[in-house]
Amino acid sequence: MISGYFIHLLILIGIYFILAISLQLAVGFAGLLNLGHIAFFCIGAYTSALLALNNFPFWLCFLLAGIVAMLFGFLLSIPTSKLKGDYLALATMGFSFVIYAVALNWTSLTRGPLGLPGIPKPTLFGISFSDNFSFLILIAIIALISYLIVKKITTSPFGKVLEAVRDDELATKVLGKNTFKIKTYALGISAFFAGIAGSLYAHYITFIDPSSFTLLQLIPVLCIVIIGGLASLKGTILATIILVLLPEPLRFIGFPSSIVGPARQMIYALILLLILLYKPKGFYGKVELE
Amino acid sequence: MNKTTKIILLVIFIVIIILAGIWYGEIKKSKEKGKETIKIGAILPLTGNAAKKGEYEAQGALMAVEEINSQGGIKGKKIELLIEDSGTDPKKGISAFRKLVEIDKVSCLIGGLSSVGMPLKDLIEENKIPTIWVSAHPDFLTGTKYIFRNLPTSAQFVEALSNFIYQEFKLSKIGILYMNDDYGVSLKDEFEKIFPGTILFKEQYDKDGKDFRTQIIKAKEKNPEVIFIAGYGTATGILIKQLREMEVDAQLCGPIGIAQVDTKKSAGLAIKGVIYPEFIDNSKEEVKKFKEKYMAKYGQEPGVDSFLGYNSIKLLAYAIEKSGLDPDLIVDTLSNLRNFKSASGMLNIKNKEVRYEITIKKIE
Repeated sequence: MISGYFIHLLILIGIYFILAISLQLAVGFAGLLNLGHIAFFCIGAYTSALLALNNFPFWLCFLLAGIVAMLFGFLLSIPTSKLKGDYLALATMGFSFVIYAVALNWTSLTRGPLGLPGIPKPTLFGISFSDNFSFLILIAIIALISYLIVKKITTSPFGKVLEAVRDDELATKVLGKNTFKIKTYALGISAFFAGIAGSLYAHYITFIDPSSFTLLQLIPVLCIVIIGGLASLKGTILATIILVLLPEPLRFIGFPSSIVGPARQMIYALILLLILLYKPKGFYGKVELE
Repeated sequence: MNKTTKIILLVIFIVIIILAGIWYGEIKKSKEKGKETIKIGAILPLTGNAAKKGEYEAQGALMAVEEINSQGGIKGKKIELLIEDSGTDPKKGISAFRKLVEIDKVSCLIGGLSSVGMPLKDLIEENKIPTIWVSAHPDFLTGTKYIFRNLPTSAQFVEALSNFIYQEFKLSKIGILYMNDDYGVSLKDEFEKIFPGTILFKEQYDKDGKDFRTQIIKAKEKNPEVIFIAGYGTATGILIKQLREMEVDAQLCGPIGIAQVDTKKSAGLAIKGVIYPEFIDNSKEEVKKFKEKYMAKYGQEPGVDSFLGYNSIKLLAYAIEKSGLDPDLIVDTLSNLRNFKSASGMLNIKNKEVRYEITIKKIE
């Protein structure tokens, strides 16, 4: 009885977690305040959905979702390579608007505002993940692998250089590192994971339309990254769980029906504010962005 | 206190809030256990950019529930309406659905917005929840059994309009000017399919355009009797104004969006005499009565969605009264419903679509 509801929440945690650690890699470790992250999520979701609707196997859709998103990540890093901080944030935000507009207006491919219905649930090696519990297991495995890969990247020498770029790009350049290449890789890898999160999202919800990929949808993910603490994977896990679960008990508080929507949002916002008031760097934050 | 203790305390604090919330909810529920109720769930966009639609629908639905309960409920059982916010987000919509169905165990569902409804389709079918949804998405009813659509589709509007032009006005030479977005294009396609007369031209105009004289000159050459303007908003208003300025005297008609305030504003006096289809007829007694009651209760004019929300609940209540809580029986009763008295006049259900009486109106 409660299990179906709970499994759904766990699946959401899984999707958000992959999305959040990929953003963490760009924002927390590489210091690239990327507000276009939702666009990679969108590209992944659409790539996977369109391929799946044309009867491609799930594993191919899934991988291509990541790879196409990664290519766009590389692409985005070229014009934004000289930008920093708020300027980078604005430029990447523009990118997310562009992708949103394309999804909305390229009607012959994406069906525009009508969206893509009937995206099949994944099947892998003959096993169907159509019921929620098996889907949860799939997500858990992918989330775990993503976590291990990101963890490996951030603790490797490459990760150290990445953090050096974040802290002092000029100094890193002086040491003879190609910071442009490093930032490009970081953005590409980050986009890859956002793309696979998008693929999982599309196959779980089974319907996507451009309204799921607006800048507004990025805010909870950015909240997770900031509240969990920049450059901390442990914090990201904790924050994902808290932020996804937090609104749920509020459903059980019996507000009068006239204020039910806004009241829940207010309480949610209040709790977030309190967390940031007492933990300005997030739970396990190590650095602050300029 | 060091950092870790603080974090642990914070987590404990949050967990306590969560538990308190659940506990409070449980207490509330057990209190109500004494009197058995019929639970109907509502998944509405109460926050986000469609919040106004959700508010209207919720208010309409609540009004219907109050009315039914004050008259003694359904066979002595009161209706309990459980409203959940979808925030126009499909993920939250699914969370709300799971909560309503698995924990509250609602027997029927109402709701609105296509982007939230589309992903719920399979879940609704799986759980066999009779559902009445406000959505205009063309694919919404494909492959479903338990879902009803409570909103006229553009095909129905166009059908009414084209019949009116062909049969009442006896005009058959028509031209189409359509806006270059999904609304305009889909209306144009429907019109082409349905209209029995000859279509002289189809010209596209830009949603953000200001000067449409090129299209108008082309249109004038063909000399149509009627021009169908498939669009809405400011650009459409400017188009109408320029049509009249260039002395095109054909009868103009358009979709429901042509009667919007911004279209009227930008068209000025030129909009007079334009005909359009409408499904809530302000001159009807029922509509006037509903408006009065609504004003008295909420202090604001009802929106279209208020009527829809009200009707959704009334339809479900009628079906439950007739056939109990068995989902298949409810669906059967609703599927064969004829001449149901609602807040907006008589309505029928055909092919799982609630059919409103569409009337053709003239802008004065």
